[in-house]
Amino acid sequence: MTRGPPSTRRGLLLAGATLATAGCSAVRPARDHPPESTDWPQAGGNPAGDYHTTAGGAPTDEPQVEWQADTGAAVPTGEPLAYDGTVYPGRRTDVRVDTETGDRDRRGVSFVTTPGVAVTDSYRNATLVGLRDTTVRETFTGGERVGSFVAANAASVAGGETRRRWRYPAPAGGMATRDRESPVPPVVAGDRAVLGGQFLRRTATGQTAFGGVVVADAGSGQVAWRHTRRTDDGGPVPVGRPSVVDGRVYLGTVRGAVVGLRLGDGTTVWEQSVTDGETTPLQVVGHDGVVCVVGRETVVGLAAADGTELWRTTPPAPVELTDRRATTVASGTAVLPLEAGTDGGSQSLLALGVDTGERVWRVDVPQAAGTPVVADGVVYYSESDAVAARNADDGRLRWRTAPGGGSAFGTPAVDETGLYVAGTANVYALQEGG
Amino acid sequence: MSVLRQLATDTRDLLRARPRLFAPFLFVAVVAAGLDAVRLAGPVPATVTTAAQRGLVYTQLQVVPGVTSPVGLWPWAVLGLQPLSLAHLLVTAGGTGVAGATATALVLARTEGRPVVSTPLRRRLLRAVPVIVGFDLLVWVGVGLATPLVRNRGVVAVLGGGVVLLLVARAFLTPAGVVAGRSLPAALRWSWRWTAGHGWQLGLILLVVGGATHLLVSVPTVLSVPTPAGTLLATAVVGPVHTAVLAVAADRIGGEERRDPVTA
Repeated sequence: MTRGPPSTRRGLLLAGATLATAGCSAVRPARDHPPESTDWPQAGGNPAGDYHTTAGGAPTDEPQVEWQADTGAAVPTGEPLAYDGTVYPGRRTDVRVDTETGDRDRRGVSFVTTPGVAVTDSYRNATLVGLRDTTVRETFTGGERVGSFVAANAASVAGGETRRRWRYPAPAGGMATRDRESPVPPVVAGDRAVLGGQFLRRTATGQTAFGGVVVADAGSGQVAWRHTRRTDDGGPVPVGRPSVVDGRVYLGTVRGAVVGLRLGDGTTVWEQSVTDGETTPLQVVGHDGVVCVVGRETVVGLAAADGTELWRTTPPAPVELTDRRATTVASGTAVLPLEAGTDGGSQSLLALGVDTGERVWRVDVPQAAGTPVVADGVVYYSESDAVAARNADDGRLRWRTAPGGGSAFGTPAVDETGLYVAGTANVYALQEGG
Repeated sequence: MSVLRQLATDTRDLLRARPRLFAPFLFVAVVAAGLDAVRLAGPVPATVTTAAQRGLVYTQLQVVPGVTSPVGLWPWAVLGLQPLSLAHLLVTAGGTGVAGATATALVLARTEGRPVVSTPLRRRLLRAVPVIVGFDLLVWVGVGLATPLVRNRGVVAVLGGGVVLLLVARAFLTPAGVVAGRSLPAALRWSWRWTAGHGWQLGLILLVVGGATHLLVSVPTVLSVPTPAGTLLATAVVGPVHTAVLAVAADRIGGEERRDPVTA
């Protein structure tokens, strides 16, 4: 008999038990459907991470709170995901909420980032892929979390850790993920999980760090390829959330470079140096033949085909790139959250044409928070104490509301049933009123 | 210690005199390495556990010789698998188990000093292999249930580990009894009776074999070569040695009663 790790034979026993009890729903969960364009199955809404959806559940004129549910989290849970009638409020919570009724249970899996939903050929039901930290260390430059990406059974067949399907990097295998401020959420594109961020590798003389992306089969965790980014002296180059569009992975780095990789095999299609240096990774969003690259002081449009620079513009105020904020791209328009200007002005939202880089509109948005979302021609975004909606074409305010009295709202998510936004301790569902 | 020295000398002599005893395990090692390669490239999540995870000083108690593989899986990853994926797992992981048990049974049958049963070899293997596989699973479940005792530190761990080791050692001869024609309960009773007084020597053998196995499957990780090479190396080296020790012990300790008087 196999004399490997105990888990081999335990797995075989379970496999036998699985066959013997195949009629049991806990062992043989219902078949899940692959995420559709009207789901919000991961951070950014889709593999491109453009925060745009064609789902029509968000209120356009008169919002009302359909339900609210306690997330049970001690910190704001950030960006929810909505898939197959269930809302997962985001990070650091094991709560799941029924989109129709608001009924909640605590049989989810708590991740450091908003997880991604993958439905693969290996399993009948969905796999949740997210980042988990195992160690928090204090460093001279602040806290540092060390952990790994974990894939778990999305069904509530067993609690907590026992639902794990795979893990990357493998436990104590000499490698780990490292994140300091804003961990990069996993991106799920079909049956591939695109895992970006920083990684640590233990060596005989200590440990080295590198930035980059690892692409794995979302069902088995088997690594397909890796792309690492290092400085000339071997230091790590942190990367931002990968954008996956049309079989390509676009990646922005803190060194001002953008790289286009082939999703299938990791081949570098093109690499372009966009800025001289950035303190946070460049944000990249692929959209309809254009890769929109956003740095703090510069916004650039690159041709998706070969990386050629199409346009470049300098926003009137620095782009807000920290605190998990990102760029929204929909229907030819990019919406960027800007910091308060040096002239004492307010924070604002800036809309640019993706094809030309020209300004479409700019509106002051005091205390803006999270990343705006575009659904059905409307921009939805959060302020620290309210949720608001504006026209995507001219920026005109449609409504502003403060569900639950208002409390540190984050990035919304939208599906066919409603708009979901997490506050400090609750997640809210907004639907059309009247 | 004289028993240990005698077993070591006899095992060396046996393998020198009959190097063909390596052949079944060489063949099975290649098969198992191939199955591991298929498994690692397949649709079911797999984990690889070597010295990188467990450290250099580690041993895994294993009564039944067979295939040694570092490839496993998170146990609950089985839940929700599609039938084809489940079949893939059963064929690859189960295949290595059956192959290992077959090699063990074959070598044990060929090391019997004279035909102890008149049953044709093929029929003996058909009967013995499933029993050996089942016995291995039983031992593994037992050791797994006792593992929490050993994971604690202090007196409880020492005592618990010692008891588990002693119990496992007393079952050391069971596979040889099964191959010789005994039923599993009869083989267990036979092993239990004849290993009395030799428990610690046999326990030491199991610790050494488990430690060597652990190090050999880890070699490819250290050398950065594909994981199935560890399966190949450890199975080809440890498998025949472990089985030869078992055969010699069955003859020396089990004496004339290696075969079942009823079936002989």
